[in-house]
Amino acid sequence: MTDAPSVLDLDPGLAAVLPEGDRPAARAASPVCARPLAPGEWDAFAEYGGREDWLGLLLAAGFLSRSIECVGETVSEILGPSDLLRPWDQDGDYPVPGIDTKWRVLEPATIAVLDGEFAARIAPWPPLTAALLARIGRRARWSALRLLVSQIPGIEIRVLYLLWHFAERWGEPRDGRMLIPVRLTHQQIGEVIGAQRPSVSHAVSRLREEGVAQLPGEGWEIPADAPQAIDRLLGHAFAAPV
Amino acid sequence: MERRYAGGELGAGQGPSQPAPARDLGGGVRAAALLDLLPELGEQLSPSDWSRARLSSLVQVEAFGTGEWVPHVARRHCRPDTALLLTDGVLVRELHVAGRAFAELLGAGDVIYPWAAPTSARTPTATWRALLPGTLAVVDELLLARVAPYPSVALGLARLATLRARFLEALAITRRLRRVEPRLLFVFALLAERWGRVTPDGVAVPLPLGHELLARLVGARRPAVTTALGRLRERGALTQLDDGWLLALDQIGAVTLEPHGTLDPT
Repeated sequence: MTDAPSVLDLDPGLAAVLPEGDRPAARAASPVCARPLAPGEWDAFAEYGGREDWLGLLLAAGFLSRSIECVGETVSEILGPSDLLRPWDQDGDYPVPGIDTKWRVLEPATIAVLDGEFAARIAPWPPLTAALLARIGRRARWSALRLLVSQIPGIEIRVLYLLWHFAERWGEPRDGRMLIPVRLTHQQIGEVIGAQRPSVSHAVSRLREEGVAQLPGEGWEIPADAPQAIDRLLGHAFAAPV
Repeated sequence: MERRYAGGELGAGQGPSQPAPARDLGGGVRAAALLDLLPELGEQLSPSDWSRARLSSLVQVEAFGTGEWVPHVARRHCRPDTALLLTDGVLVRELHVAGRAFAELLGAGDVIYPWAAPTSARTPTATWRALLPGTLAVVDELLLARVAPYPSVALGLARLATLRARFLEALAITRRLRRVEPRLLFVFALLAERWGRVTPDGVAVPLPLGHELLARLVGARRPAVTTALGRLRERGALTQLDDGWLLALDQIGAVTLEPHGTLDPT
């Protein structure tokens, strides 16, 4: 027996892909090393480079950012619970020099180490492996969507679109609103949606009329009917010259 | 437990001495060994394991021609976690919103999930078309059950899936370059890394990329792309060929990107 938590308990979404009767055996076969990460810079590549024989690092709790710095500009991706990271594949050299990758822990996080031995132990439950692979695919689709969002004319709609997406994935309902429990700065939001910090700050102040609020020490809050505001703003964007 | 998930329709139970047949299943679908289609997935296996894993890696494969692409294989395998692995050819995945479009190029080794739930209720529906004809293999629970004794195959699939995200992250950088010329050179450097073939004249990128598609890749308007391509041609940096593009060698290894999108070939 081991005291290590099962990945099925750290990430209930994985348990959900298995028939109930299979879960006890899968749970017993899937203990993982769960490692806490404190907020601040995190050199993921130095710690976990060269792990090609691992399945990945599963973000079980908390939030991270992965930033690519180039020509004095930064583009960032926000990762949250249930995302799967593979820094050893992601952070290698790009064909153009001068590109640097950095990880930052935004909120206290826990990563589950899914090493090669873990991959072998869960192999008898293919839905688990399929679900973990699909997590990587989901990140790619979100990256594609973020690229599209970064082209939408109008920073307000970009900010709202991003916050709504985060709310759908990680939001906590509260009094008819959605709390997004990650304290993203205006700078970090700008790095995700392709905008400068002052433009984001201006957009945030205008979005207060739509009910968007930055909560010190907590994160962001948006109204549950934000999709209607998105549609309305998209309508305006669509009417603009493109 | 393993029997529950083990697939039987595509050769499970064959002895290791029997070669894995690539056979026609009708309807444009055939069976083939995934390790034959993408040998890199078997690189970590010992020779004896490789032979057995190859037999176990039989998958359904569907060919596609150029033009609009609809995932026919998918109609029989529409679980959200069922993936398609591109084993040959090039697909374009496009997203449209508010009059803007973003295009992503996918080639051999890329993993796609055409039936996954949308990432958001406000996510636009993706459209697909084939730029070059190719083939797709179904990566589902049946395959993963058969290759379960060889975890390195699944690990190889995870690596391939990650590379798609990495390519997209690199594309995001182009959005921060203000001028279109460096955006184009940056994207062509990425494409050359993946599809390029070194020739005495430069790196040939054998992809029939039109100006409109390039505009959707780099996040610019088509007229601006046409103008930038003209300048790059005059400099000898990028030339359009009958079947693709030719990127000057010195534009890949010695390009320095500088703030505000200037480009300094050094």
